[in-house]
Amino acid sequence: MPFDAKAEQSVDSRLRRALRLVEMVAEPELDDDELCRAFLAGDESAFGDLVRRHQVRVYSVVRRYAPDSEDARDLTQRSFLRAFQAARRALSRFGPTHSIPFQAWLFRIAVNLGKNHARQERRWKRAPIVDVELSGPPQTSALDALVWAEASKLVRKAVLKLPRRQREVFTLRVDAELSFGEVGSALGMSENSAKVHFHYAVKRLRLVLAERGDKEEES
Amino acid sequence: MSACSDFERLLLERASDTLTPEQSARLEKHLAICAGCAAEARALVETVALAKLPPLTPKERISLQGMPLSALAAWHRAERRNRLFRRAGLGIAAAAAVALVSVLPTLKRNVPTKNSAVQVEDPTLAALESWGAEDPIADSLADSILGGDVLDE
Repeated sequence: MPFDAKAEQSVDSRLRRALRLVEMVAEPELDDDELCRAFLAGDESAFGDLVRRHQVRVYSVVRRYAPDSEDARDLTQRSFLRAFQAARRALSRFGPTHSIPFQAWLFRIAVNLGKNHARQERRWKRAPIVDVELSGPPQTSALDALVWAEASKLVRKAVLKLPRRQREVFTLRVDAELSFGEVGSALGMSENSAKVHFHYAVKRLRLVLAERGDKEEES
Repeated sequence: MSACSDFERLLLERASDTLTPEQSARLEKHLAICAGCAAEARALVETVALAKLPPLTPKERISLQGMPLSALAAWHRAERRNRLFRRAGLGIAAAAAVALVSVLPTLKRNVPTKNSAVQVEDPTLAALESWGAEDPIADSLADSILGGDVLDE
């Protein structure tokens, strides 16, 4: 009987899909609310699951405000602790049936902590991230890379100078990659308002770049 | 060349990656024939890309792997600290209550009551009234008459 690689692959992929289904049925993924309640009820593994689920995105948000990676890590950890404390307070005040919008609280806390950190340290003028050359798309030449890095530095500075709401929406959308609905619920506004703030932010940043282009042309 | 005002919102939504497939198809059709909008679309997408932070470094990723454990340890430390503060607060409150209970009878004894205030004030008022009623000239005259040693008429 000849070896049929295509049929073999198909069987293999069907098996893998079936295995995934079995795993999903065996251990359905708990949502944030359930994990948070489980932790507050004493299940410590739920804490780890919840932290692992959000840590990269929270870190991505706070590192825009904290130039030092250790500071950003510390802010990330504090965001989680405060979110858990807030959840516990809410449950004890409003009863165990009260809903816990953990993600919304977590990101709101992260943005506030980041902003306070930047204000306290007066680091608005420092470039938050050193590895500027890593941020852009692949460059065709060293000159292109330099131009991109300069422009990127300018725009990132401008992000920190955006009006508060625009800055918060922009960072949650771009850094944490939240949907506008999630951004809205984190910042206590509608999805549409979040979109509007984002659009104003992009327009403002675009203006900063255009002004820079005009100045360069003049000189 | 500037972008068409009708497509401004769609261009921004394209930059934020929130276009529906229908909107996207409509916009792309327009971009193919409008150089102004095409330039603006490129500029908006580039602006958002320029604002993005670089991806996490391997060092940052490794550092984050330990976050669940370190955060849990920090949670327990904070809990222990809070328990300690609560106990200390309770201790201070209990000590204050004991002190209050022991001092209260003394305070109660020293605090003037309404009646005792009247008692204190009564003699004073009486003295004042009697002083007001006194006639020093008449008194001195009476003294001299009775004594008879000053005025000798």
